[in-house]
Amino acid sequence: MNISGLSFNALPPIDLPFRFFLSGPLFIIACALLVLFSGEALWFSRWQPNMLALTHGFTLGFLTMVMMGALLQLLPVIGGIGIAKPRVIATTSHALYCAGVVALMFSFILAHNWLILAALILLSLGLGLYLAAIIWVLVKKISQGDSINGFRLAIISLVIVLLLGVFLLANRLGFTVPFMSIDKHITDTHALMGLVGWAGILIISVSFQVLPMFHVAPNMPKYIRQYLSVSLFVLLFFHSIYAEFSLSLIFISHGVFAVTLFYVIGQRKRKVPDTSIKYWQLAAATLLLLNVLYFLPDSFYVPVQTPLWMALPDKGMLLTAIFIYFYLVSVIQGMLLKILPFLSYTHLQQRCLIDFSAMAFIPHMHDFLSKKKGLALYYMHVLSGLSLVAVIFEPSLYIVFAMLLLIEFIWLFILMVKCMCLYFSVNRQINLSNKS
Amino acid sequence: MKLVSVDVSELVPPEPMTVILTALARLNKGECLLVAHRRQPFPLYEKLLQAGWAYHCQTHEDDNIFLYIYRKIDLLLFEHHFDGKTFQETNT
Repeated sequence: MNISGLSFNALPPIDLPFRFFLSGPLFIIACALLVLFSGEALWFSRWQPNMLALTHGFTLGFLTMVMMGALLQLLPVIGGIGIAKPRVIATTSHALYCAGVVALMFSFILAHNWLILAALILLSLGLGLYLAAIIWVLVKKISQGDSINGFRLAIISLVIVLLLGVFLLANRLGFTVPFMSIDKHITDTHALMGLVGWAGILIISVSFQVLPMFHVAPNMPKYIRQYLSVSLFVLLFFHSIYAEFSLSLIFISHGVFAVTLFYVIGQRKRKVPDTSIKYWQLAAATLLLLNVLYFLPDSFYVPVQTPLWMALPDKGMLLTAIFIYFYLVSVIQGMLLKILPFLSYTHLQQRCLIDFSAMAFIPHMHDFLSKKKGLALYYMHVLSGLSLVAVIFEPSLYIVFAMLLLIEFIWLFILMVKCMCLYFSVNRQINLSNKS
Repeated sequence: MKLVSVDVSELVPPEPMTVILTALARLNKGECLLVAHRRQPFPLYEKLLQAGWAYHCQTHEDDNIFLYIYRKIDLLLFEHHFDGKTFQETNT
């Protein structure tokens, strides 16, 4: 029995993960405005300052933000234990982190030294505090398992991403480290560790749990669960020595994951239509398409040599954009559609253990987020994703992408707010009935 | 002690919790609920303890667990019927 008052294996209060979830779409809305006001020039190179602001808005402002909130919930559910002092740590790290991402985005656009310094300090403190709390759980307290081991590798990757990011920011301020010099390898490793190590390995590890749990799918094959995350992690380290070889294997590993996803989804016992499953299928199809695009001969990307009616655009930008938008963002959005109503419902349900009659107040789970509205979000996502690809081919279409992005993430934000409002109104009803 | 069994192993969340709650609401004094599940419902444990319930979890394989839930005041009764491995049910 819990005597100390610390609730390690209980779910943290719902407002803690929700503040991370709610912040995510706001950053993408900011990104959409950035695209709208940056014009065509934004799409000419990955090194454009506004492009750096955009990629960090997506990866830190949305992807990492939502994953930070989700991990707070996932650790108690999967490992049986959550972080210590969740309210203090989640509130502080969230506030510092949000301010840090805003400062970082502005530091790319405006290039003021004080903004760079603010981003460096705020992100180090915000992410550092959050990481320290998660690492404390992952090192000391938690049960073993393939997903948990994957979480460990993802968190190590995030630590490396943060350290390299701090190094890059410090370098912009004029501080240098004697044994390290700024070159493309550092930024490539920073980006790859973030996209494949942190986001990619975390998604893969989460899929081992989420598909059997939410969709009654069979477990992924044991060798996939045991070796996929580790292999990717090792390949990331080899990337600095054998860049092309390890990158090829990273793509192939994701292809194997995609085939496994299709197989597991196909083996579900209850094949009810489900938007989250559509998102997983979209993500898997994306990984297969990325393999095709990666292994296409270089001539496809050269205007005079291409066998197609037009050459493919910059390979790095095309592949990265598709990986982020159609794979990472798709999975995260699909997960949000699943966990927003589930969390709201399950938090209310747990209150009924003390008073069973309160069950009468809890609405149907789909009332928190209806299937139709979730499906609408999915189609908006596919459409905005296609417009993103179109912009990479033809930058003058940026207004279409910006508008579709804006509509999609305002819609997601509205769905989240509605879900939260319903939760709090039902919670209030239960409180009132307990008092009377 | 009488055993009431529910199998939630093929249900999608939040149905397992709904089934468990409904069964607990109907559980008479001196009865024990046996839940067959695919995974340990960790976050439920503390809430059960706070609400005056006690539990015992038996893990058989990765995806097959038995969870016994009973009222805290029935602890001695539960221990009398459960030897750590099997539950000897009586109707008295």
